[in-house]
Amino acid sequence: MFFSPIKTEPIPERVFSISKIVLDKAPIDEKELEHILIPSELNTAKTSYFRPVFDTAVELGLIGYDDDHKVVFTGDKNDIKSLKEFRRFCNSKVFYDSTTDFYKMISCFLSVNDEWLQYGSVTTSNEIIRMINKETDISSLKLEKDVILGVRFWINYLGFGYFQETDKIFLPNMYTALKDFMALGDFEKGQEYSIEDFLNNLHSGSAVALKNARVSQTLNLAMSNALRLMHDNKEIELKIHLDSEKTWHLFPNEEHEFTSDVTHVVIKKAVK
Amino acid sequence: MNIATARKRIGQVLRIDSIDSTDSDFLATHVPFRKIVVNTRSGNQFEEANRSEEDIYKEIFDNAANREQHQFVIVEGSSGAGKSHFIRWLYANLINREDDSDVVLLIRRSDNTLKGTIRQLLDIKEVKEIANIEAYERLVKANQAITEAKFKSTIYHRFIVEIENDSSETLSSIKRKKLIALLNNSIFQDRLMSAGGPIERIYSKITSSSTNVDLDSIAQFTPEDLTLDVDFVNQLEDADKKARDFANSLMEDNDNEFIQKITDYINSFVETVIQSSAGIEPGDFEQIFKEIRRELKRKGKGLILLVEDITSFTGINQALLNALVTGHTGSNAADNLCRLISVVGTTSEYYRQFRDNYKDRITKQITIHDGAIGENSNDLIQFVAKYLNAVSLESEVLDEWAKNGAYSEEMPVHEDKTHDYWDSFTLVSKKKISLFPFTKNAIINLYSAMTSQKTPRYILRDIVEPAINEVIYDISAFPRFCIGWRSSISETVENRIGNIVSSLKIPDEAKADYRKRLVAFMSFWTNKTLDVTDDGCIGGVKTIAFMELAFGDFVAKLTSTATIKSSIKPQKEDIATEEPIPSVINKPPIKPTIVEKPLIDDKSQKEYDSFKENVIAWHRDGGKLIRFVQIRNEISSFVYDSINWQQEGVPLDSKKLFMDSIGGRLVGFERQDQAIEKCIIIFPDTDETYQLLLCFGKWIYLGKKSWNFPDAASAIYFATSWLERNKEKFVNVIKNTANSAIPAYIKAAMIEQVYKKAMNGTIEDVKPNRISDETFLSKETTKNTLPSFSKGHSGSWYELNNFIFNDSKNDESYLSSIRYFNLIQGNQANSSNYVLNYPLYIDAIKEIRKSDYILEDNELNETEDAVKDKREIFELTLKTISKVHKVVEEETALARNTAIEVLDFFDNIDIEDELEASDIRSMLNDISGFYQKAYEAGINIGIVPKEQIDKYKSEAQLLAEAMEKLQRDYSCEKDIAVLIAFSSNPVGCVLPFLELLKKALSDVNKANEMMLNEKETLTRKGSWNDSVDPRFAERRDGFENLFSAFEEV
Repeated sequence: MFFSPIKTEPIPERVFSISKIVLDKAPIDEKELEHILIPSELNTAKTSYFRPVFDTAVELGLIGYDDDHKVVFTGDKNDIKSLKEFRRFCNSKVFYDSTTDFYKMISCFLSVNDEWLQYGSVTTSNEIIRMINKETDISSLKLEKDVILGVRFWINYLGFGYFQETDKIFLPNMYTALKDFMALGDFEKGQEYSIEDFLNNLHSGSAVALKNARVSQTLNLAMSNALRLMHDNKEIELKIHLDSEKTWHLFPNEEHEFTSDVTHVVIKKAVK
Repeated sequence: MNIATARKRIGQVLRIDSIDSTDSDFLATHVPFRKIVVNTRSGNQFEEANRSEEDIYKEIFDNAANREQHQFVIVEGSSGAGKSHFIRWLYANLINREDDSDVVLLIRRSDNTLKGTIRQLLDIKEVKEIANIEAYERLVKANQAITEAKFKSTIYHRFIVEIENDSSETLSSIKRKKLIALLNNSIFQDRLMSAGGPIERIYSKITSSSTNVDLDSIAQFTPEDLTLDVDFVNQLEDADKKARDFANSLMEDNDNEFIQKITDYINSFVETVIQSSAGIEPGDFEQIFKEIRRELKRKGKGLILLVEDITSFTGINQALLNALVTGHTGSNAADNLCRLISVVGTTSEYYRQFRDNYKDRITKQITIHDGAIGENSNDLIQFVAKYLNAVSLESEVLDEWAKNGAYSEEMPVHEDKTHDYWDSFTLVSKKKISLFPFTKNAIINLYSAMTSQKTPRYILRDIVEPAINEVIYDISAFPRFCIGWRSSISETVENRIGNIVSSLKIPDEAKADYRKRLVAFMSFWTNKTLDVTDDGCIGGVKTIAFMELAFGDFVAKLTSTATIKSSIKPQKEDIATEEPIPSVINKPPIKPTIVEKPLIDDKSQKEYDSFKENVIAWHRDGGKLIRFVQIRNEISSFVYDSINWQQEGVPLDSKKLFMDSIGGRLVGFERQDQAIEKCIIIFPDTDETYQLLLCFGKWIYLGKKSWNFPDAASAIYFATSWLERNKEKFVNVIKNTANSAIPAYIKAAMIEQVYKKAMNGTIEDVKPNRISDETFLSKETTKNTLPSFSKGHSGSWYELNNFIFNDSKNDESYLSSIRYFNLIQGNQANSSNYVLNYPLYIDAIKEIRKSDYILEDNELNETEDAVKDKREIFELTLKTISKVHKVVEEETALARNTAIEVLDFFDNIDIEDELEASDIRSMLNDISGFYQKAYEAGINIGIVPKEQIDKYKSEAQLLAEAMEKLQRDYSCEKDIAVLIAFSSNPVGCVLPFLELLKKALSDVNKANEMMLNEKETLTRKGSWNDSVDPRFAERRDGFENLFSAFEEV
C-alpha cells in the first residue's frame, strides 16, 4: 500500500482492526486471525480482503511472524491505542520515501491547489487522471482502477482534507495532518518561529505537502487552509513582521484575516 | 463638528419642516436648486424649460412684463422633494428686497388648519381695517371648546347628513340608502373613526397642526379605508340587511372600480363637511379673501401670496384656489381687487386632482423632481456639509451673518480642528467644512441606499439627524442607524471583516455588534476595500477615524496582517460650484478587488442574489429564514458525504439508518420559517452561519452544485473549517452513544441475540458474563424443532420463543448488529465482504456483559427514537425482556416440582441434597433387578428391557446434572442466568427418567398385588397352611421320591 502497489481494500480502519486483534491474541495462527477478522459465515463474497489488509499492517511494522510462523505484534501498543494515535503513527511512517506511489499521489493531490475543482470527480475526470499520470508516472489504468480509489481513504484519514464521497471531490485542508506533523516535530509553546523555521521543525513527513514551497516561498492550498484554521482556532498565531527577511505567501484568500503574506508563527497551544 | 453646540442646535437646524427653521439657519443650509423643470404658459400651450432657482425668481417677481400681471404659479413635487424649501427661499428673497409695493404673505404649513389660515390672513397689518373683521375673528375662535370625540362624531354624522341630502344622482337611490345604512352601523363607524382612519385625518386638518412626519397626507377617504375583509364582514352578522349588502360589495377582491367610485363619492363631501364642522359657511372664505384684496387695493398695494402646501388646506382648497385664480382685471375689475401673484406648493398627487379644472388659469407649473439634490454628488455633499456646519455654529453667529446680507462668501464656517483627518467640503470661499461624522463616500453611498424617498427632508431625517445624534450621545455605537441598510460591499470583504472580528480579543458577546457596525462603516464610509495604504488609510479613510469609532482592535489586527499598498491621490477636490458636476451617484466607487475566473451566467447570478437577499433579511433584519429547504438539504448532504464516519467511529450502517430517516433535517437554522422542531442540530443566527449559508448558496447557484465558481478556494476554506469545527457535534449525534461504545439500538439487538439463543436452547451453559464472543455474530436462523427441545419447558417459555421468532424485526435486529461491526470501504453499505471492526466489537461485548442484558426504557434517546428502524429494534428487545420474568417464574416452579417428584423415589434425599449419579445408577439397578425377577417369576407386567435401563445408567451423570439444575435455588439469580441454566432443557432431560421411576413403582405395586391375590386363592382352597405355601411341600415330596428312585438305580 505505502511501499508497494496501492490497493483499495486496506482502508485504515481495517489495518487498525487487524493490528488490534493481533495485539490481543498473539501469538496467533494466521488462519485463526483470518477467521476473527473475516468471520467466514458473515463474509459471503468470493474473495477475502485478508491478505492486503494483513500485508499493510506488516508494511507499517505492526505485525509479523515469530519463529513458529505464528503472527505476533511487532509494534508499540501505544501507536494503536485509538484511531487518532494510529493516524499520527501512520503520518510518521509513510512519507519517508518520496519515490513511492503513495507519496507521489498525496504530493500530487496537494500541489494542485484548487485546479481540479473545475473538473469534478477525481476518479472519473480524464483531465485529472491525465494530470496525475503526468505527475506520478503511474499508469492511467491503474490510477482509474485502484490507485485513486485507494488513496482517497488515506488522504482523508491522514488529515490532508475532506473527500466528498458521492461526487469524489477532494477539498484540501491539512489541518489534522499539520497538527500531527507539529506534534511529531519539535515545537515549544509560546515560541515564535519564522515560517522557514516552522517548516523545518515539522516532522519530515510534512515534505509531502511542501513540494516547491521553499523555492517559491509559497504554501499550497491545503497547508494554507491548515495554518489559517489553526490561527482562527487560536492554536497558533500567524504574523507579519514587516522587517522580516523573508515573506511567505499563503494561497490567496481575500476573505481571511491573512489574505496571503505571512512571516512568522507563534505556537499558542501545545499540540497533543 | 462642535459637539457641545450641536447638542443645542440639532433640534433647531434639522427641523424637518423647513418653514420652522430660522431665516439664518435656512440660508446657511440652503443649497441652490440647479435644475428645476418649469412649464410656462404661452397662449394655450405650456413651454418646458430647465431653470435655476434664481432664474425662476427673476421671471416671476423681477420681470417688468409680468409685474402687474395676475400670476398663479404651481410648485409641485413629491413629499419632501423641496417644494417648501424652494418657496421658503423665494420668501426669504422677497422680504429682503427693497420694495414695499407688495404685501408678501407666506401661508405656513405649520399653521395649516382652516381657521389658522384665516387667522394668518387677518393678521396682515395692512388689512386690520377691513370691514367685518371682528365678525371674522369671532368665527375663527368659535368651536374651540368642543371635545375631540364629539368633534369627530360631528364630522362623521355630517357625512351621513350630506349623503342623505345629496340630490346629484351620482349614486342610485337604493345604493345611497344602503351606504347610509352601513354608515349608521356602529361597528362600521368605529372602523372609520379608529386611529389613523379617515375621520381622524380630517379632524386633524380642521383643528390642529399635524405632528405627523408626512405633512403631505391628504385628508380624504382612500379605497383602503373602504375595502373590507371577510373577518370584518362577519362581524356585521347582526347588522341591517341593507348595510350587510353594501358591506359585501366592498369586500376585497371584489370590484375595485366600485370601491373607488364610492371613495370618490364620499370625498366629494369632504370640503363641505369640514367647513360646516368648523362652523364656516360656504362662501365665507372667498368673502374674507376678497375683502382683504379690496383693502390692499385701496392702500395701493399688491399681494404676493406664497402657499407652502395647498394639500394641507383641506376644507378650503376649492375656496382658496377659486380666490387665487381670480384676477383683478377684465370682468373682475369692478370688484376693485389688488393684483395677486400666488405661488402654491402642492404634492404631485394632489395636483392631479385639481389640475384639469384650473389648467387654463395656471401661469407657470414648476416641478421639483425627487433626487433633484442628489443628482449631483457635489450638491448632495454640500447639502449635508452645510447642515453639519450650521449645527456647529451658535444661532447668534448665523443671525449676524443673515443680518449682514447673508453673502455666501461670508458664511461663517466652524473650523473643526479635532476632526481634521475626516473628509471636508470646500466652499467657493475656499473655507472647508468638516464632514465629520461623514465621508464623501458615506454621503453618496448612504443616499444611494436610502429606501425612503430621496428628498432633502428624508436625507435629513434618515441620514444626517441620526448620525449626528449618535456621535453626540454615543459615538461608540456609530453608525448604528444604517446597520440594516443594504450596501454593495463585496462578500469577500464582508467575510474577511467577519473573520478578523472573530479573532479579536474582545468579549464574544460584543463581537456581533462590533462586526455589524464595522461592516456598515466599511460599506458606506470607505471605498469598500480593506486596502491598507501608505497614507495611513484603510479603504481610503484615515485609520485614526476608525480609532475614534472604537475600531482600534480591528485596525491593529488588519494593519499587522495586511500588505501596505501605495495610496492613490484623489483626482480633484470637490468644491461648491455654480455649474452642475457630472453625477457619480449610483456608480460603484471602486471595482471589486477579486478578478473572478469562471463566468457566471445572469440567471445563476440572479438566483444567487435572490437567495442572498433572503439570507441578509434573516441575518441583518432578524426576519424568518425563507426558502431554506434546498440549502439545508445540501448542507446536510455535504456533512453526510464529507465526514469519513467509519474513521470517526461511526459505523456506516448507523449513518445510513440515520440518513434514511432524518435526511436533510440533520441541520436547521434559527428562525427558519417552518418545522424547526424536526431538525437535529440547529445553527444559531451568527456570522458563521450566515457565511455558511452564502458559501453553500454559491455552491448551489453559482457552481451548480460544484465548487466551480469564482474564488471557490475561499469557500472551500470556509466549508472545511466549518466542518472541522462542527464535526464532533455531527459525529456525536449520529453515533448517539453518549458514554457507551455502542448506541442503544445496537445494544438492544445484541442483547436480543442472547435471549433468542437462550430461549431457543442453543446458548452455551455458562455464566452470563462468560457468553462467548461468537454468540453475537452467529445467526440463529430458525426456531428449534428438536424433540429434546419441544417437551419439558413451561408454556410461557414456548410462548416467548414463538414471539421472538415471529416478530417482523427479528431478522433485522440481528442484521443491524452485524452490519454495525462491518468495516466497509466507501459507501458500499450492503457489501458482501465482511471485515470485523474488532476494537469496536470487543468494546461492545464488554459493555453488553456489564449490562446484565437489561435495557432501560429511557436508554433510547430522542434522536434514535426518531429513526423508525432503530426504535423498532429497541422495542423488540424491551418487549422480550418484559416477558422474561414470567418465564423464569414458571420455569423454576416446574423445575422444582419435577425435582420433588423425582426425589420422592429416593429415600433420604431431600431437595437440598445432591442427587448423585451413583444414586441414580443404584436406583436403576434395583429397577433392573425387579424386572428380572418379575420376568423369572412370570409375573404378567410390561417388562422394561434391560438395555433401556442401561441407557439411563449411562446418562446418569447427565441426569444428575439436570437434577442439580432443577434442585438449585434460583431466588438470588438474575433472570438471564436462569434462562441460560434452563436453556438446555433440564426438565426435558429428567422427564423420561421420572417416567421410568413412575412405571417401575407402578409395576412393583402390580406384582405385589398379584402375589397377594394368588395367596388368597390358595388359602381359600385350603391348600395354604401355617403360613406356608402347600405347593412347596408337594414339590419337595415329588423331588424326594424322584431322588430315592435314582439311588435305587
